[in-house]
Amino acid sequence: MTVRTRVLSAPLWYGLLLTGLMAGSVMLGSSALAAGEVLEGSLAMLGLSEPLERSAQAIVELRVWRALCTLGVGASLALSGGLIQGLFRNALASPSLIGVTGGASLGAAFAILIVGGYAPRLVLESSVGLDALLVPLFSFVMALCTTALVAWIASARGRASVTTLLLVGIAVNMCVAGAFAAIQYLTLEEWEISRAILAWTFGTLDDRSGFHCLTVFGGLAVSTLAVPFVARELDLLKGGEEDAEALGVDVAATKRVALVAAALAASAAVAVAGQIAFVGLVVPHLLRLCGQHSYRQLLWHALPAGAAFLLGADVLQRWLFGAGALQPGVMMSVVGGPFFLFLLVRSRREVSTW
Amino acid sequence: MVNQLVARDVCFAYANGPRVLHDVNLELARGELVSLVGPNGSGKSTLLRAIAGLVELDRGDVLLDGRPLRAASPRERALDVAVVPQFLPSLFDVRVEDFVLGGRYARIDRWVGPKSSDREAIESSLAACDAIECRGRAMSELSGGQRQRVVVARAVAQEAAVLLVDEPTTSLDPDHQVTIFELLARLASEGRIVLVVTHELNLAAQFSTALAVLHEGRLVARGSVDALMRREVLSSVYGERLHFGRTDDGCPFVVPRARLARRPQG
Amino acid sequence: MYVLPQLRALERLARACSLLALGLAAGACSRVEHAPAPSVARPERIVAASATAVDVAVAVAGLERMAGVPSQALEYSVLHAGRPEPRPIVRFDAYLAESLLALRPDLVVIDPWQAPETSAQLRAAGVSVFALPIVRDFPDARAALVSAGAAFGDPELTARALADFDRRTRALRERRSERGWRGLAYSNFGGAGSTAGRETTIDALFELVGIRNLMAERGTVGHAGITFEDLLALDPDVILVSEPLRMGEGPSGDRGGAAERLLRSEVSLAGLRAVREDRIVALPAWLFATGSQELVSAAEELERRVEQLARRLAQQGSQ
Repeated sequence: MTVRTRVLSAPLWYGLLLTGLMAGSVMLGSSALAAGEVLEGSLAMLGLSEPLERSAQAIVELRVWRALCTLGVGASLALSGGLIQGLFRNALASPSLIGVTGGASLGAAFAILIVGGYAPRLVLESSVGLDALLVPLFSFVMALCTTALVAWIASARGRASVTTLLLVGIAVNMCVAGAFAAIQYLTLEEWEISRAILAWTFGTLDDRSGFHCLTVFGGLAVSTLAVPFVARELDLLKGGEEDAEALGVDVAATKRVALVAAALAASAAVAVAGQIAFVGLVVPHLLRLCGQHSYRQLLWHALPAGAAFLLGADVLQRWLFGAGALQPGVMMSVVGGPFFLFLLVRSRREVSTW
Repeated sequence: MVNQLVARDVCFAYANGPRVLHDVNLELARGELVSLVGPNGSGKSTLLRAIAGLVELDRGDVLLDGRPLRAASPRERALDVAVVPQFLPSLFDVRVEDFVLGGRYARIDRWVGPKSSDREAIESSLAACDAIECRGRAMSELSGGQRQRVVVARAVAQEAAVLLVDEPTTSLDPDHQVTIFELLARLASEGRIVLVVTHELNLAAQFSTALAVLHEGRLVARGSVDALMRREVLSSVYGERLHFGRTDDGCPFVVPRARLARRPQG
Repeated sequence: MYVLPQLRALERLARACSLLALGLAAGACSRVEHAPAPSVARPERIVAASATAVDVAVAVAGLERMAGVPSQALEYSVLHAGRPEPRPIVRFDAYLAESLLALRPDLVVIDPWQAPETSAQLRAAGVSVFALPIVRDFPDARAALVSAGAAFGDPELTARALADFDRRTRALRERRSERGWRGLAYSNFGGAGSTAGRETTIDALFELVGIRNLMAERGTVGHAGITFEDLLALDPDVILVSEPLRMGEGPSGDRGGAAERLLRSEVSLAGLRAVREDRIVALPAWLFATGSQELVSAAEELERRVEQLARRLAQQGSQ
């Protein structure tokens, strides 16, 4: 019964934590705005107050979109990481294994080439204003296509075992990374474009708009719908695919649903924020350290925990170093590696049982 | 309730591999505990998996009271057939109740979750398998004997009429081996169909209602313990290096033994 | 796609790697700093290896002595498409020893950041390599002309180029605007925005035409990222962007222009003064990016367009 009371109070704690982090995030920025102004501007977005002076209102809105995007991206990456780890039965798995990150990078690079004028404009000539949407759109579609390719090749000869999926994922990732490297090399002399491509790979949460929010929360919502259909199944998969099937789990369907949900959430997140490493890997791990071993709980906790993790890290680094000091993707890479190492050393018992 | 399990003309080959099962026909009735024996690589475990519906048959059928099993979804199949696997990962982060709850998967509504009846089934199956003391612990903390009893308890919690058990006594000491077979015999006598794949011919001889002998993918004999625990039957399958005898209470046994000619005289 | 013909570059990469290995093995790799005076008294076959080098070499030695220019010079140098091309000039795609040696140069003019391995190869093959100094402002650009002129230039051409540069720079300084507009440069290809702070050629341009570079005033040094919030908070009087690059050949159409399209279409930036009042000034791509004495042309063009803008605003104001 202690479990039940903890579950009941968890939403409350998460709600308080996320609200606090949201408030902290919208207060931080390169320009000075009073707390009252920020509150007024945020209320104005909901139609509950008179909007501020035009540029102040725009700044508040940018900050709110940024904070919301951060929440969505953190939640999506953590959920996706949980699903992938369940699917691969390995706590070291992350969405990049199935080609999400690589595909998104390639898509973003294509989009930047198009925006930069490297491709015939065709339709795009007439659709000025699409530029800002082109990068997230392309990286989202390419991420999903890459994952689909991985899944398709892996299951081309009947049932796809998880090992095949893993190997095909690695191979496809190599192909995609090769294409991406080729684009980077060929645009080396065009320093504006090389810079744009490189900047994307660091991940950014700046200059986000309602469209970005819609993308990430759309992907997240659809993926979350899958959780009730795979949570118990992923728990049973811990004993192996055949054991799960003997217990009545439709293993093929479970793998399919988990893969699609993980790909969708991660693709939307990566499309909106660029490459942000380690959230998908570390958040499920942290939850396990807190005693959430069952996917029935872990996947649900991953949503608010991932959101709080990314937003918290973002708020902390912007508070410490000032806005624009480090992009969240860079920060996660810098902090994530040592942090993960620390986790591994702490839980050596788990490692030895792999 | 299932009264009869029939494997009919079961043929199976792994993809791009040699045929593992050749036209196997096997009938099991309610209340029976049949031990499936045979040398390594004879296809025992594969036959068990075929009967469980876990592999795609090339030909043949598995019928439960005349209904073909392959028509059923995994969930429907799990209501009738439970499997006790030979190997499981260490499951370091799985608690015993959660593990046994896995046996109830096919009976739990996705949107409702485990009900009190499921909790009761977990309790009673743990009790039936003498594993109640394991409750609250992690699977990786259990001893070999406890772990095997918990795995059987999960199959019992599944409340399936057919119990398919793959080498349940490997890595157990003699006393625990007996415990497990006693448990299986009790489960059979309560009205289940129990098929056990085992190398423990003597335990099989003591507890089984019948033996089935598999050799090179073919079922070469099926019959009572007394009829099959004989040199004429077993030497063609296991070779000549066997010694046959009877216990004080008249139960046949067989032990491995080098040929007398090769033994140093002493 | 414009990229496809460039896939040949992959092949070149492989070649570069093998050459690099050769170079390392020979132990001939030493960093090229300022090169000693070229061994040939008056080089007749000059290859310029960057757009900046093309500007400088053409100015001090004349187009007739140029034996080869990089492809991007046709976009980013005085030879850019649209200018009359007196005679066909041999082009090469990348700064690689083999491509350059094929042009049989007796002097190669490079930017200081170009691959030292390639330069070492060229010198080992008996070609003089002259590295220009780094250019961040007008005195730097003048110094580059002087040093190149002394090293391999025609004295008469060099003197003329210097006089021209000095005259035009002085003229610009004399008529520098006192409006005190606050400006910044912006580029964005859909990834993240970037701008230029102190110690950049853009800052030098702004200084010469009398526009206050907001980023320099904020203490930014070099090129740096900039967010929408920064733009809104600074709300500059004028934003400098690069014009689309009109290619002389190939199906690629126009390149660039992305920053201006983004500024005009992004909803959250609609309140910017520069967007509302149409105060976005675009420089031709080759001038936006120039790092040679052509900075003075860039400044003149910037001044011309800013004056145009000022006149238009004045007319609107009087109406």
